[in-house]
Amino acid sequence: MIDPRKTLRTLILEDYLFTDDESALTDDMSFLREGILDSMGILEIILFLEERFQVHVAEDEMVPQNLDSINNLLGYIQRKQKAA
Amino acid sequence: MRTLLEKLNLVARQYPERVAVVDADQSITYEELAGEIRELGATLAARCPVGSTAVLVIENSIRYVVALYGCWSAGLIAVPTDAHSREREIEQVVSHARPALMIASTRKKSAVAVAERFAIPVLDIERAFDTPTVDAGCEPRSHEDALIIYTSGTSGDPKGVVLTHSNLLANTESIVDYLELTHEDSILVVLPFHYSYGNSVLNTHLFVGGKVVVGPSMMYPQAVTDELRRQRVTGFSGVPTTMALLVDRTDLGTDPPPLRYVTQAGGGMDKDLTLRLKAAMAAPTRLFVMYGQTEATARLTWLPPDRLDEKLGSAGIPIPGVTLRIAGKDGRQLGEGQVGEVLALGDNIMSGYWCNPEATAATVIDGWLHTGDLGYLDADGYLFIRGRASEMIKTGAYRVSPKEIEELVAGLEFIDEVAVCGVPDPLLGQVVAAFLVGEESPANARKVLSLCRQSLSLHKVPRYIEWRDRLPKTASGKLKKHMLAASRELRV
Repeated sequence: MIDPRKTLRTLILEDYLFTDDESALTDDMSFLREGILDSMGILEIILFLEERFQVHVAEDEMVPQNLDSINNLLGYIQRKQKAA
Repeated sequence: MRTLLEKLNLVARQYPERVAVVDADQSITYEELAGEIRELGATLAARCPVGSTAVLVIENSIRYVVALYGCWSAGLIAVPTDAHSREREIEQVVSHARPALMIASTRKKSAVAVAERFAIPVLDIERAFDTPTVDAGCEPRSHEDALIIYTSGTSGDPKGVVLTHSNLLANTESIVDYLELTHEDSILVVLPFHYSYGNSVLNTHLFVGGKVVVGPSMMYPQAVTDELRRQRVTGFSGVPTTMALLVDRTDLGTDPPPLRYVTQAGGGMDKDLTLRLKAAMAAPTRLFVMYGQTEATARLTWLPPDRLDEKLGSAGIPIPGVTLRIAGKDGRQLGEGQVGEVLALGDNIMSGYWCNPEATAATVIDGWLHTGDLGYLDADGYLFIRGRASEMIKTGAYRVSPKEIEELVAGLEFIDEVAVCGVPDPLLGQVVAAFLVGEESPANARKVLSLCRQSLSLHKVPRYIEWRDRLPKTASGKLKKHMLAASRELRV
């Protein structure tokens, strides 16, 4: 069973912050405001969601409310999986 | 009229109640904006000698506009930086520009840390208006320096492009002329104001009494398309990556916003994307393809929209007040269709690089800007860009110096040799790739990326890393980067 929180945190920490220091990322930290991701980065995250969680991200769902923090991503994945 | 500040004050008298700028938090009228600029100008004038530099670390916002024009109101030279810069990058700018003051949000810890290290006072932009002030009474002269925009130089050290008030005025007037901007126009801005393109979009719209709406980040392109519809602006400006994201990642084409004009600069846009963008927009929207450089304030050429199909792939004709010439390696002027370096002459050409007379002398010769871009003019005088003479990487709207990244990575003990170059990318044009010689291991690759991540803005961090036994070189030992660019395989 995948732990989505752990999976997403590991992805951001390892592939974008290049650290294993858990304190470098809080779950409500904005990827945009903190300069953690750019346009390319967010597209990579979307591909990751589609591959790992089988979540199809529609164009009108590519908004900060769904994607801009660990908490927002988790909420979005849950809503999508519930609706499926 | 001699300066953009003078013009803004005129506009404020002409259209006092019109909204000048809208950001995420609030909007401001021209009368209010001019008042806040005067107040900040007085505060700055009381703290800094005329002609000194002030570094700005502020995101796109009303505060940014007040700070920029406030510097001019105090006779200072504004040095805007990317608010997302890493500490090391802010330090590079500060150590080179030697500012008398930093204007920033004190929440920007990296900026404050640098200011403390260099013993520079910080004016907190969130609180800058609390202090009662007297009238500054300083009106800058047109030949005086107004702005320093830092770009990556080929040597890896930052290069500060110095623009005078008359440079800014000349380029603004030319752009307003060919875009036919009026006070009825309004624009959604996603480009950073601290870059030459964003700076020109801001200044041209304030110049005519138009409205500047600070847009959301392009990280979420659909939010930008939604905002274009909601704000009902007349204009939008972007770089090729912006346009690719809007066309391919949003529903732009299903309900095109009623724009009068869309402008594109910041690197060549391929023909296919140009046509797809045009098709996605509403019929009356005019698409302006443009070309320029920071060293030319912003703009050098524009392609009249009614010639877009006929001259597809061209950067267009010189803007009013600019003369272009194509020169061969020996400096001789080349004829129609012959590829050489693009040279430009006009009142918009920078006064030079800050504290770098050698680089200035090599770039502006007898008044002509040597752009480093290769291109040709066709029989009708339309410019076609065919590459760059230098090895700078162009990723999205950014110019990146391979040297800056190479020097950083070369300092790691397990690296024997490193070469950085741009490799093709469908979205960004190019992305940064690093080729390493040294102790190969996944852990060391991560250390390279971690260092880059800590020290460099996101667009400079390599997207690709590849270990090599050796780097390809000529017999004389010169790196053959074109061979590396063509051969990257491993994605990290």
